[in-house]
Amino acid sequence: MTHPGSPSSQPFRREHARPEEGARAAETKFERERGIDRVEVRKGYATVSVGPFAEPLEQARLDVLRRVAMQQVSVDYLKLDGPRMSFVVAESDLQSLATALEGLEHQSRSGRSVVAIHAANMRDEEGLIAKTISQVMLTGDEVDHIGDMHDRVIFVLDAATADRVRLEVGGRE
Amino acid sequence: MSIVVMKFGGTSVKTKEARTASALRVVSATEQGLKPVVVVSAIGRKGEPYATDTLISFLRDMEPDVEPEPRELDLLMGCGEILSSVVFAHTLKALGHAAISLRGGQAGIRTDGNYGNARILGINPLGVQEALHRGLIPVVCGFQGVWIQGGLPGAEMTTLGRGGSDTTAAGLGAALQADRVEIYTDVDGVKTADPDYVPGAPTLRQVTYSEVAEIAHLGAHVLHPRAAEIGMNFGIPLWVKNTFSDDPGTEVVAESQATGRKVTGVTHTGKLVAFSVDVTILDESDRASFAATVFQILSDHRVSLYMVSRGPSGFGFATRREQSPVVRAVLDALVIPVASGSVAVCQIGGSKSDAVRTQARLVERTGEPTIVPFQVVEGCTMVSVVGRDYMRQPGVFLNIMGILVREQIQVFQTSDSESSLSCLVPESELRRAVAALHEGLGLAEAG
Repeated sequence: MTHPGSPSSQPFRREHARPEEGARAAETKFERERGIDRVEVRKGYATVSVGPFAEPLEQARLDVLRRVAMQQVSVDYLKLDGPRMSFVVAESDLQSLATALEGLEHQSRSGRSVVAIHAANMRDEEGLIAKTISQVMLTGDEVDHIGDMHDRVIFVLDAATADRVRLEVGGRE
Repeated sequence: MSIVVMKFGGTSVKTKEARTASALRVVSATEQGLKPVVVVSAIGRKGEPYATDTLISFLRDMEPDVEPEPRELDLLMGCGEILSSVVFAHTLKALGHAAISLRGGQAGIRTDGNYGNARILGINPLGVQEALHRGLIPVVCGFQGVWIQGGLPGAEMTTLGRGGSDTTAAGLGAALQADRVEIYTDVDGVKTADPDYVPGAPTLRQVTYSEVAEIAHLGAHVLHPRAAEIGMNFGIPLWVKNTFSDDPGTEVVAESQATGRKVTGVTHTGKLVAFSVDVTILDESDRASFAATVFQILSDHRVSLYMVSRGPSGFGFATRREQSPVVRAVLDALVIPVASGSVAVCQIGGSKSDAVRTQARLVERTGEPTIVPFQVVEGCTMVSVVGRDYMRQPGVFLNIMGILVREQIQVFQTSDSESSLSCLVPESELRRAVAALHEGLGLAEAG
């Protein structure tokens, strides 16, 4: 039980007492401010583009995914791009990836970062995902990938630009 | 004193029988020595006489050409929950239990002044605590708060937007330091898939706050992400239960309390329309500013995006079908000055509309415009696999794409995050895609 005036270990919780203790309730602070509140940058990724493939595309794509899985390489942010496909791997997996893709036409770009721009409940804030993407695009650098979750929009881009995005898109950190 | 917050959705208060079943759950809680605090939504769903949408239609249909003031709409919408709380308190009285209905403001819910989508700033639950102290069962209107404007008398009623009643329940649970918050609905809890598509899909006994928020983000609305976020931040155990069955329901817990499970479930959105554009037609230096302008325009028109993709040759996105006309209207014939000094004219679909031809003629005097066609795929939907640990493992894409290819289901695009993987598929294949993924990922044995 937390008593009025005592410190609280939980960041959102304000101290208050239950009525049988005869204390009046205090106000508990709530929901995060809307909009972007945090930008997180993770470095050490590479973007890989494979193809063009011959038809049937589905089987060619599965073949690439099978080769990569057999080398125990985890793939993120897969995108189908006509006769090509692209995805992101950890830079530390590039050697294994080269083995996996031997004989297939592919290019990789290392020095990429994953930038996660956090905002509460993005789906209901209509236009917020589009606005965030527009802001990042305006940094002028080529964005390799865009994705979203319930509380963040995710970009893969050049590591040097990632820090600029953090500064320019900001948030209330 | 152990407090339990019990929230009843529209279907749980829709009829006299449903209200009685809900009220008996409350009575049962008191018999177990708990102090229930009830939160109710408006009665029924769209089309039914006291549902929120019906109240809005009542006003809009009166003067279809006049947009109602957001403040007035909030007052009107709040009537649905007031009616529901009074009726529910009366039902409890009829069962021999003294109850008191409370508006959101009387329950101490203070918000900002954003009518229609207000954010809870704080809750002082004194009114609820006083009611409990007097031996009454508080029945609180979900979805409502008040905005206290400096220097003005009284307080303005506000509504909390989508998922508002779930948010009310979670917020009161946190402010009252409740033992738990129970969200009652007409399904047994969080399922591994939509039971309309996978009959017999098991009920998950436990999900994390983050999983349930992601499931909602990807289309299934069992518990609103705002409520999940409050539960997570304050460490309040949330439960999703069925008013009409004795199934134990689904407990929503913190990541640290979750037991091992790779895949949580398969979910899907409603109807989507996919747009994609090849920007290699533009100078390389113009592509980023072109894309930035398109997304800015979409943001200005409050378009909600799904499956945004960006590749070496262009970008794409999907929107809900009801927003597709807005996208078409704002992008078709849109003139975008690009960095190289020329102009791009957007074209929706494979042929030029009159508007595109007119715009192209008008801007010709500044130089030859570049027509940038957007390809449109109607009749899409998004099927998603949600999983806590699964997405980090090698072979996930192979597994999921393999299942869909084996079923000869075309995948237009994919999108993934730390906890989900989504595929854009033809709407006509949705049922088969959900069933195949559910089967292929072994979800029939989950729970």
